[in-house]
Amino acid sequence: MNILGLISRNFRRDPATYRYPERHVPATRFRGIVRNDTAKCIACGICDHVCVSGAIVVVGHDDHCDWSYDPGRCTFCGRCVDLCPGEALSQDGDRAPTYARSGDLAQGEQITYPACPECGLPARPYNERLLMIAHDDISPEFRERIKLCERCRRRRSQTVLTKGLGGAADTERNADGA
Amino acid sequence: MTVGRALFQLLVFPGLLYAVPVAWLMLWMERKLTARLQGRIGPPFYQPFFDFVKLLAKRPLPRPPLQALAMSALPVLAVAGTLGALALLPVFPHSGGFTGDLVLLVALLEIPPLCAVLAGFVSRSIYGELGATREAVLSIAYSLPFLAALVALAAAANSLSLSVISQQAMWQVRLPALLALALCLPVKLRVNPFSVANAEQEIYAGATTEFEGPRLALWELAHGLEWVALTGLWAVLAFPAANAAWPLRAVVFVAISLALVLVLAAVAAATARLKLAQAARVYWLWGSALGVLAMVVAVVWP
Ligand code: SF4
Ligand code: SF4
Repeated sequence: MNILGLISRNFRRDPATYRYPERHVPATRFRGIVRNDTAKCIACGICDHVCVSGAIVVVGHDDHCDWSYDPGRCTFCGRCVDLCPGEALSQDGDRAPTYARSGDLAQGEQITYPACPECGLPARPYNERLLMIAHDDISPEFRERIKLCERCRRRRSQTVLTKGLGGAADTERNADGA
Repeated sequence: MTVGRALFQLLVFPGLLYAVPVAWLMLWMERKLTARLQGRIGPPFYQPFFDFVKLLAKRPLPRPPLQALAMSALPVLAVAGTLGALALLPVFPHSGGFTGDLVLLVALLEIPPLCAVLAGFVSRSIYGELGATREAVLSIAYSLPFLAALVALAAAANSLSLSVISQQAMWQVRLPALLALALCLPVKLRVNPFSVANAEQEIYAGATTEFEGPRLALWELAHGLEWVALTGLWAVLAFPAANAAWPLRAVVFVAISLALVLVLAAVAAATARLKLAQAARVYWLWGSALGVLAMVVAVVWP
């Protein structure tokens, strides 16, 4: 009679139930609450786009971007973390603490856009890692240009272009004249 | 039995005042022991009381008038029937009773299962109907040994009065009869291995699935009272010492009832649910064998 041994052993032992706040140790690579490292975030909005449950909302403004996250809606699927191009997102390795009201654990981050070194207006944030992926060889001139706001960058490109074209035209004219 | 005496038995002991707290205590004991045997913590002892109060405080669902009436009346009837049965238990042998109270007791004890069957059909839920059907089949199955045991006891004591039976039935009859009655307890209380009528993993709560709020609270109370009444009946029949002083009788009555609850809970925790046909076969075969044995002994013993 296996069952008799089983129930008498259960009876003698302490209950297996965990009493709050005691908890199971979470498994390795447990997918918990999503965190945003704002220093790496480039406010691209991909996380907002891929989050099926609408837990992440990214709203862009002129000089900053509001990144908000509600764990009460999150299904902890990890899609946002997988697809974040800047590797800004990560997930806690443990369960979220207990909370009383939906929205208690909601996080809101503000990603301030850096000022353009030329005109002082807000420029898009950039991420070193992404730069490395896109261009494996980064010249000092390129690094400087990436910090500019869009307008200044366009203007810089224009100048370079006209200078380059002008230079070429001059050379051609000179060659003709010769 | 004088009116005062009858009222005392109905309202104080072993009736309302005793039975309701003990019903909750027994429900708790059953849940707690089952939990411990399964390695869980189990509820605190006031849990059945809290469950009852919480259910009472809920607003009942709006239903068509006739259905609402039936669904409210049936649990009330079940509670009333069980309380009546409790009042008839001859805990104190000289407390009166009357000739034929055995018949009344059997009738009153049959009210809750009957109400449960009706409740299952009245609630118009497929699970309720399944539970009610199973309940009906089982009640046919266990009625044979249950009634045979009681008839054998009555024949042995040559009386239809409960107090006479509890005092005078001889042990040769009493033993198989008590065994047959004990076999009937789990199915009447719907616990394992004969819990097919409210098999929660397949048909939710069986006949009471659609019940909610105060109506469900009354069912829970009726269920608890059934525990008190049935274990009490067994205790009364198992302890015939006529000369014992009344406090001793009361204490032994309570002790046997509670011990029986523990035994039933342990059996429930150690067994798995039998299928309807298997459960019915146990009663038709082994239950009836015990009942018939008791009856034969009662008739042929000099
Ligand atoms: S883990 Fe899944 S559900 Fe949660 S925020 Fe990321 S994408 Fe949305
Ligand atoms: S960088 Fe990552 S965290 Fe920031 S907006 Fe894009 S996907 Fe979201």
